Amino acid sequence: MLIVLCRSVILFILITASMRILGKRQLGEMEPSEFVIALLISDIASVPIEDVGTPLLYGIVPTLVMIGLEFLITYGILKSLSFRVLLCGKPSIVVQHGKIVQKELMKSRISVDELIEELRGKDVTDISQVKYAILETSGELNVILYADHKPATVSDLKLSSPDTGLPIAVINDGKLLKNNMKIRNVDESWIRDYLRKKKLPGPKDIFLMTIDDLGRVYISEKERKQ
Amino acid sequence: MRLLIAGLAILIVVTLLCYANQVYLESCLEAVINDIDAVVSDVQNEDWDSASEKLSAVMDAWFAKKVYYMSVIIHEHIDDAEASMTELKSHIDSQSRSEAEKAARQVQIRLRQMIFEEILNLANLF
Repeated sequence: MLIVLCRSVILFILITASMRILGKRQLGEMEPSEFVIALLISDIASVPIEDVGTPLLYGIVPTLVMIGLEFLITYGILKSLSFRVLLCGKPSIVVQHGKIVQKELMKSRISVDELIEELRGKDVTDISQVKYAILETSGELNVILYADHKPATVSDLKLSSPDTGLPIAVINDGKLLKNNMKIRNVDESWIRDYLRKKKLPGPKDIFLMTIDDLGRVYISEKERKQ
Repeated sequence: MRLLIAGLAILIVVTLLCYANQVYLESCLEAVINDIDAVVSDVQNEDWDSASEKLSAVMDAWFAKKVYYMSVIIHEHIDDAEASMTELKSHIDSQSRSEAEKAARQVQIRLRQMIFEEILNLANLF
C-alpha cells in the first residue's frame, strides 16, 4: 500500500510539472494542480471499478493522497506568491497598447490566428482598440479596451436606470417554491389571485414565474401537450 | 491554516495506515510461511497425518483472514497462493514427498512475493 501512496505522490508531482511545462493553453479554466487532480482522480477511481481483482483501497488511498496534496497546494498558493508563480505561472500580457507582444505570444505558444479568434470571441475585431489582452493562468484571455472603445454604460450616458435586482423564481415547473416566496413576501393566495387576474391557469400549469426586486412579474405557461 | 491542517492530517493518517498495513500484512504472511516450514519438516519426516493437520490449520487461519487479504492484495495473487496450498494438500494426501516439498516451496514463494511487493524500495517504486 505504501507503494500506491508513493506512486500517487510521484505521479502527482510529475503530471503537475508536465502541465506547467505544457503551458496555459492545455488547461482550459483550471489551475495546473486542479487539472492534475481531476485527471488522476478520474483515472484512479476507474481502475478498481473496472478491475474487480484490484482491492478498492487501491483506488481510495491514492484519491485521499490527491485530496491531501490539493489541500496543501491550495494553502501554499494562498500563502506564498512565489509558490503560486511556481505552480500556476504568471498572467501574460499578449497585447499591450494595441500591439501584439510577440515574445509573450511565443512563450504562451499561441498563434496569431488563435489570438484573433479569442479576441473575436470578446467582440473585438480591431487589435488597435485593445489596451491590454491578458492571458490568465487559467488559460482565459481577458481584454481591456481603450476607454474610447469601451461600450457606453448607463452612467456614462448620465441616465438613470432602475435596479431590478435578481428575479427570483416562485414557481418552477408547476411547483411553488416556498422559500423564494418568503424572500419576495408573497404567499400562495397572492400568486393564485395574480394568476386569476391575468386570466392564467393555476400554479400547476405555470412553467416559470419570477418576481424581481421591483415586484415585476414574469410568467411563462407550460406548453400544452399536442 | 485549516487547509494546511486538513491536508497534513489526511496525508499523515493515510501514511500511518499504509505503514501499519505493511507491517501487519508482513507479520501475517511471515506466520503462514513459518507454519508451512513446519508442514515441510513433517513432510520430510513423512509424518503425513501431522502435516495434513498443520496444513488444515494454516488454511483455516488463511481463510479466517481472507477478507483482510482481499482488501489489500491483488486478488489474482491470493487465488494463486490458494491454488498452491490446495496443490500442497493434495500431495500430502497422496503422500508424495517430493511433490509436496515442491508445492510447499511454491506457496512460500508466492507469499514472499506478496510481502516483497509491499516493501517500499526503489525496485518496487519504479
